[in-house]
Amino acid sequence: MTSSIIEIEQLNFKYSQQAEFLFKDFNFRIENHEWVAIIGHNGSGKSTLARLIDGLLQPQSGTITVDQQKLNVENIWEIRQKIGMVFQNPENQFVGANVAEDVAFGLENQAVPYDLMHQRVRAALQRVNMLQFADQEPVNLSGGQKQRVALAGVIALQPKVIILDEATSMLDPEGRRDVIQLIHELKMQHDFTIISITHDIDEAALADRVVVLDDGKIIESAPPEQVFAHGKELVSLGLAVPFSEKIKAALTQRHVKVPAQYYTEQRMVDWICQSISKM
Amino acid sequence: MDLSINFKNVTYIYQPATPFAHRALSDVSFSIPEHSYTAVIGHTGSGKSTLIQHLNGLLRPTSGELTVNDQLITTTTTNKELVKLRRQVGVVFQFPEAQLFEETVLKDIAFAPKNFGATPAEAEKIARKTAELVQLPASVLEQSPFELSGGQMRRVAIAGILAMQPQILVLDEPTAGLDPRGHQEIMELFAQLKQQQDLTVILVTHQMDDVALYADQVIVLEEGKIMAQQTPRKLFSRPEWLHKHHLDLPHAAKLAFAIQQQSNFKFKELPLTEDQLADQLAKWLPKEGSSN
Amino acid sequence: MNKVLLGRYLPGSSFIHRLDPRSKLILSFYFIIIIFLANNWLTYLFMFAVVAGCILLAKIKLSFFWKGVQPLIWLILFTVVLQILFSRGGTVYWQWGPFSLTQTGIISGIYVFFRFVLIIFMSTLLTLTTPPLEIAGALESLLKPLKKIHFPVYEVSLMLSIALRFVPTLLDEATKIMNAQRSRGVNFDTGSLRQRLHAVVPLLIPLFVSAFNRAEDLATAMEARGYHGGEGRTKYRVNQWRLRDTLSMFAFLLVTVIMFLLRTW
Repeated sequence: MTSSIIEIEQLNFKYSQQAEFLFKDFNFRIENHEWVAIIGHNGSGKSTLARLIDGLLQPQSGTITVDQQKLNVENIWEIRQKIGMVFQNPENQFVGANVAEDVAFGLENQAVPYDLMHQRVRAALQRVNMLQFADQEPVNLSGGQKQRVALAGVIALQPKVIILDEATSMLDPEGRRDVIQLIHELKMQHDFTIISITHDIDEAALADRVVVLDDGKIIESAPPEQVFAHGKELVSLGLAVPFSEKIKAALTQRHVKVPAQYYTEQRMVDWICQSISKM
Repeated sequence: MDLSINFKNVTYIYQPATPFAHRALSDVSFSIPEHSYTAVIGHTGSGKSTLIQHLNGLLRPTSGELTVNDQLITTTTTNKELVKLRRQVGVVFQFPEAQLFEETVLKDIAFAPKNFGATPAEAEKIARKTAELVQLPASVLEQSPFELSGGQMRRVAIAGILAMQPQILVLDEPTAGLDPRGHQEIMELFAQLKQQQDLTVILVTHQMDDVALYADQVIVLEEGKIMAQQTPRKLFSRPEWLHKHHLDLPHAAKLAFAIQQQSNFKFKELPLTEDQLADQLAKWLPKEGSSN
Repeated sequence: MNKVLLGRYLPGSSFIHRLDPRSKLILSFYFIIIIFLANNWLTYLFMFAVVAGCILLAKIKLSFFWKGVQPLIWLILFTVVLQILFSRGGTVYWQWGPFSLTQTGIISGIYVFFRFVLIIFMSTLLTLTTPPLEIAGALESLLKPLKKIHFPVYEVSLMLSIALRFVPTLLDEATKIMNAQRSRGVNFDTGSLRQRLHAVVPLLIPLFVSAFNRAEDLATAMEARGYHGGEGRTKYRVNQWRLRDTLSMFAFLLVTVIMFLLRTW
């Protein structure tokens, strides 16, 4: 297949202080314009995988190909221009003195000329609805607002791939909803390839494909509804399950005949209402 | 019922009499009975963390007064009097692993008991017992806390508070940043401890499912004022009110309201957890083995 | 909640606020030099008038400037006392061993006091009207010639600006850790010096650990955003030298000329 934007082949990786390999002969592909959610408990290797793709960690062996280019020491900066990352802690990725300067940081690194840079910073801030905060210092922003600024910093660079490394996990529910909504909109408009590493089931549900990672191995890789239908297995892996699956489990315990496939919450409500009126 | 905590017209102002003055609590009054489980909900900046810091005397009210475990705290209470209180009120702050500093896990857990006057031998004994209580494997006790995984660091930090053997336990989003399994394990642990040791628990959280599952009363804070104090069931029966204050419903209640809206099914009492929801629905749904 | 009022920037749009940070930085230093030209009452009076003019132009209340003097008042008084006791000349009022109280001593003591106050007023004016990061930026731009001798100007100024950026974050962190350790029975406020030093350990270790973790996160984030050294970067913030900056330079030159005239009055 030539449409893969990211191809990982025969990857072996371990952290220097560890004896065991985290990834052993690991293979993985992501198609162009695909939205992939990677879920797994803490320590399953999700974030490590993201860092390997961006060349922030070096594998012991194996190849990583990004947009037809094999990642190596020479082209690492070129490849990073194609990938934008948003990390978990909103505070620790805010480099600039204020909002506008933080968005500009990546553009400065790419030596974007002054006028174009100002134009792109404005456009990016406008896009994430933070333009009125352009002169604010990070102390005055909420976690959700800081993550929106981080997203603006990413889209200003016009990358092909956006990696969200638990970008919503430190936010309160409102901030989280807000950022997930924004990611959804950005995906609709710009058709980036998105890799979102997450514990949040609502975030994962938006993806085209959910990949379940456990101790460096891919346990499952399928559309969300297919993955979520395996509620029990997800729980045993220490993962969250959608609420509709929890209800199904609780009803099964009470000997109710429930549908086998995954239902969204709305479909679950429909099914319950129909079944009740039939009784 | 005896009162564990009683706030009377407490107001707190940061940096009073400067251009940066900020009123974090205004005229707050409420009480918490002994051995209860109270959830405090509200948005970032609603005054939750200021409120918590009053509970063990880290802050004194700018005006008004409060009683915690029969100890009166007013604007003029001295630090010396407050130290006694700190032993009775254990506070697990957000991301509590930030407080770890000792060479070994055991020493870190023993830190608070030692500060409150236990001999080194006593403190170590308490620390071992507490480590067991939070299900830390014995193998990590002599390790540096900084070598542990995030979930285990959290347990060590929590053990460091429990080792004070407090009567009141204050939890400020104790599971923030943990994965779903870690979240559930820690929340169950607190519920168990409360049962076993008859603690008074105060939980600050954004997760309404936890409020539904564990709390027997809820306090809603907004801009430093108390908006509501009632049982979870009463609070969650008012979806419009919650919506107006940008607060969520527990999943089960949300689903129940949707079912009521779409059908003529009436729930006898609003279900707050998936078990309560399933209990009420099961009778009305087709059973396994039935032809339908 | 950070409680530090000192060295804080007060947003505004006055003439002084709008000056290029480079010219403010140059003029603040220049002012410190020309103040040493002052040698009599008239010159000091004139210097006061210059500072008062600048403060008026910045539209900031005088009380903020006194707040700048307050923390340094003991240092100032100490220097003034030394100046008085060790200077000789004119009428001798009192003498004991190497110490004396003379007319010259008293006058030069008063001059030293004025000099301190004037310098503090002027530097407070700089920090009140210029965000710390603009000062860092101005410093970088002024130090640029040093690149020729391989001084890492860009790296130093980025370090400085990131350090400034994280000051509130770390202050906040320190408060949180102190609260957590207080809750575990640590007493930071009372006890002997030894006890207090001991109490600082549970604060400092977590603070260092957290700072290192943040630094690591930040380095990763910067690398992911394509930062690989200062070479070949463009700048988002470019200072603009305007007519008002040139005018301010001339104004200070004029001040210097007047100072020379008044010195020999």
